[in-house]
Amino acid sequence: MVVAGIDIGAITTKVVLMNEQKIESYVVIKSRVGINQNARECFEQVLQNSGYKRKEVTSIVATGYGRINIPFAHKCVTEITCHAKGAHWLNPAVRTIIDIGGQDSKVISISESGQVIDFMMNDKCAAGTGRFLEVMAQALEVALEDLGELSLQSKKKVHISSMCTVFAESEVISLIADGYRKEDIIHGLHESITNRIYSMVVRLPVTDVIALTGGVAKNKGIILSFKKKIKKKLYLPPEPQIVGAIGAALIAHDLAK
Amino acid sequence: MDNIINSDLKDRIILSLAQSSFTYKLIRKVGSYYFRKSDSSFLFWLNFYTRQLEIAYQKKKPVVWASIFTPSELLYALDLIPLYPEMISASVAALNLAGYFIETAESNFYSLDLCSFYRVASGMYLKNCLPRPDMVISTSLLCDGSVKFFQNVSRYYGCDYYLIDPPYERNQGSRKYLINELKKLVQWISKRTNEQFSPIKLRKTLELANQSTLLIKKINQIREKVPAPLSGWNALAYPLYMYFASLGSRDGLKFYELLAQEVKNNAIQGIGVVEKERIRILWLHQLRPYYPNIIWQIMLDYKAVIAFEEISQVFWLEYDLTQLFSGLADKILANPGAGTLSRRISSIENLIKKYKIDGVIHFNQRGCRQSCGGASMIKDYLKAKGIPMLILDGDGIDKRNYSEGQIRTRLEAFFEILSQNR
Amino acid sequence: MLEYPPHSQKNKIITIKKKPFIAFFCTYTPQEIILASGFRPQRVIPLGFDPSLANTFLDSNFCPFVRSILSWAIKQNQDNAMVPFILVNSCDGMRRLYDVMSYYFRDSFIYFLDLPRKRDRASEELFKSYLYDLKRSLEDFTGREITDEALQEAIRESNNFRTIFMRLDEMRKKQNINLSYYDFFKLIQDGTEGIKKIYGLYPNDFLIYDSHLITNQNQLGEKKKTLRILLTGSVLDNIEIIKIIEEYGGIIELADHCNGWRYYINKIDETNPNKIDAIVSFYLHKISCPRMMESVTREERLLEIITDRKIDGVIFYTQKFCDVSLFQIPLLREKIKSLGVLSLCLEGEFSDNISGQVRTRIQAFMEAIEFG
Repeated sequence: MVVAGIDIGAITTKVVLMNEQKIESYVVIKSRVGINQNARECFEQVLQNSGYKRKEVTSIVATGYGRINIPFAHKCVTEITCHAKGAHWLNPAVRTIIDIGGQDSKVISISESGQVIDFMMNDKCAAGTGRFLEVMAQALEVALEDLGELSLQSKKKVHISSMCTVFAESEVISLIADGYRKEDIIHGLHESITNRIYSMVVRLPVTDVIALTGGVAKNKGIILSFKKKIKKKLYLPPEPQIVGAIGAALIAHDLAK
Repeated sequence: MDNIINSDLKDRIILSLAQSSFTYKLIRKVGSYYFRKSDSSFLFWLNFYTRQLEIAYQKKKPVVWASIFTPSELLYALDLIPLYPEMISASVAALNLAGYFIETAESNFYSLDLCSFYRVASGMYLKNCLPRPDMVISTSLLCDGSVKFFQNVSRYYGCDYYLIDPPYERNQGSRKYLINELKKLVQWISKRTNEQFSPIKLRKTLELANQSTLLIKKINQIREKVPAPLSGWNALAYPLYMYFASLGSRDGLKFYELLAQEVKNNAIQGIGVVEKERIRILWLHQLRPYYPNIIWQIMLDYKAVIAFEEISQVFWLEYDLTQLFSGLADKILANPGAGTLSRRISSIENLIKKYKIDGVIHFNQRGCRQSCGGASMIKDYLKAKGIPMLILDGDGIDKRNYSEGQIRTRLEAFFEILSQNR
Repeated sequence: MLEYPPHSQKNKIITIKKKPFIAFFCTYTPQEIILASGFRPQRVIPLGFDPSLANTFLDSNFCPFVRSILSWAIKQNQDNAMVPFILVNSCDGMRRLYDVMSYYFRDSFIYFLDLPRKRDRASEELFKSYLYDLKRSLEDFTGREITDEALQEAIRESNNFRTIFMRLDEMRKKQNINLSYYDFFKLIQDGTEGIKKIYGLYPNDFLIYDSHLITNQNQLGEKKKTLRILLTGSVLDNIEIIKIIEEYGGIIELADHCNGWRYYINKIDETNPNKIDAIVSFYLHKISCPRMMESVTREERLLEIITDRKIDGVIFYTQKFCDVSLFQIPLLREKIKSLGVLSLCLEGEFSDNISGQVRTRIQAFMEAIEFG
């Protein structure tokens, strides 16, 4: 049985195609204005890559902030439930998921069977999200993908005191003017994000294994920062951005049965 | 003071309408026709509310601005017309006019960190949109805002202010103090209205309050039935107004008779507010968003209902009619929101059992320190008892703090958890 | 959940000058009773303890002072070094702080003192009963009776403290001693220890020798044009604010804060044979904080000072989310404006680093007054 999961995020849209609970293909594209159009294009691409036809897909579930705008999805489920499902399927030892997306971040606590027990979200401001790093990368004039590698070369501790992304950007600019190294500043920014997330983490019963998902989980510097702050076993999915879409596809499979 | 907001035509129309007693008469007549198919309790409330404003403008009786926890029984016994600015803010939000008053307040240096109920109410008096008070009475229940806002009102209008300041501990000393305070209050009011205080009148209002309270208890009891015959979403609207504003009045009693009948009818016929009810929620904090929002629809989608809300509890005993002030003093001290948080927590635990609650939602009104400050502790406590709780950030009045996407995601995720728990 | 050490941690007794200390935070804490019990009351302004650590227990939109106190308490608990606390029911924030602390730090001595908002006879009687209860609790905690003599001595000592600061303030204003407001404010926080350090004098000696100080200090040079500033608000968290105002040409006439002027103004009546009555009367009738009903009297006093001392500008410095201060600002601002004086509103966040935005605001304000 072929099913699909669509995760419409603020920065990227992801579609995963599964057949009998095996991933056939997946696509990640940049989200543009026109959620429905975006999702359709992404879906078409995944079909092309996999060789399946539209009518062979029995069930489609949509998740992410744009989930209610997809008329061709059979059901919408929140990204909390989808991330839980997806992460647990990838690694049944997972009990906590930390998802750092483009526009929000969340911590989800799940049971042995993969059911959501509790969750905490930060979607009030950009601090602690991918957007924070995007803004900083621009201010530092480095590519977003290079942030991780650069931070590993840090030698000196730099503390970013501003909570707000906009003010933190001003702080970073001042630090550059004061002669601090980019590598050290980036390391400090990663610590900032980790601290922000940590304040959510402590509110939940966080236990091993912790899955790090979302685009920001590809950043080596963030991973290191988390390893230092949270003394629990971390699990890094091979493709951290599609965990929500995998979960949605699995739910689509359950629906169709 | 008002040089920042331009008084254009729209503003002038709103103001002249708001300042006329005829407006409220008109709203009553038109409203009764427009809502003629609604529940009679709703129509009764509309009548009661608009009539009070109309009388207040006509200055037929002395007008007092009061906080919601000020004993209305005393106010009716002394023949005053009470106005509740905190609740009027809620109705202004429902009419989508809150933004206008918030802008007024903020441009007059009322910080946007203050509770939006008080910002709207401040905007309303800065615009002279409400009948002038002859006196102001408040209590320090449940927050600092209640003390300071009303003090500002009294200073703005140059009228006298009486504060009932209940002690933190619930003991004999506190009780004695409060009884004396209430006695002093009636003398204070008498002096200002030149009307002799009549113990007979007070006894009468206490008696009426007792009868109304019995009906509220009856309604609360009927609400224990599954499916829920009355939703907390509705109970947090006009019935809540009557809960604070009408005890001690004949109208209050009539209202509760109507409401009790409606709820009883639903219960007898097994009519639930939500068809095929699946999730029963306990709503914490005494308010909800009053402007149009999606919460009600999301609950319907998930077949969830607010089976009960903490504010509607009857936490006080029947007033002893031989002692005029002790019953009122006891009621003030018995408020679960006063004193230590453990009182609130144990009342919540009780309600969870009684109403067969599946999950608890705490509405974190932005700017409400006393309530939001306790939410994390309540959540921890309930978590240890295996009861899921959602802390829902939002604002009851200020739409700028309302984000549909965020509320939707949090609520839906919470309902998804509850659905899988079943 | 945060991992706490098991709840069996007893209060660690930390001593300052051989006296064990009790932490307090509100100006309405009756220090005299604490002193008489043999403890040293130490006012704690926990700057440098990140208030956001407390967000998980309280709300993030919460007074940073309250959150910093909790952050400090969490750190102490982690270090097995919880000191005894006295909290006052001064506001919603403190009330919830007490709830959180008494729930998570169950074995520690955390006393919650109720405080009436009014000051009529009935409120005095109430407050008296609260103070007797505090006295009993301290006696239980220390195992020692608090005698009338001890109270008398404590009242004398705290009156001394107040007298010294009122004198110092006078001398500073008349420029009889070279003491900037920054240093003066710092002294208030350090208490009599600071006085000893700077002037090498024991506090009692100070009162005898202050004339000695006047003649031996250099007179200030020719007065340059300065702008007279009145500071008012709740707790002043970071005293560097004062330095910045002075840097931009301001001279602070008065800092009306709970850890400023309101802390040392007035004296307790030493002739009253009932010590607790004297203490009650002092605290309820002194220059009040915005939280009290009688804040109107304080405002009138401030307006008098603005006129008498020809204040050029008023800076409201309150803690963010301090509702009682925020409610009073609009009306007070209007009154100050009608006196022809400009005002600036700033918010403290218990940050040990004063941001560029705050500096800019202060500088712009000083420029506006100077050229206005």
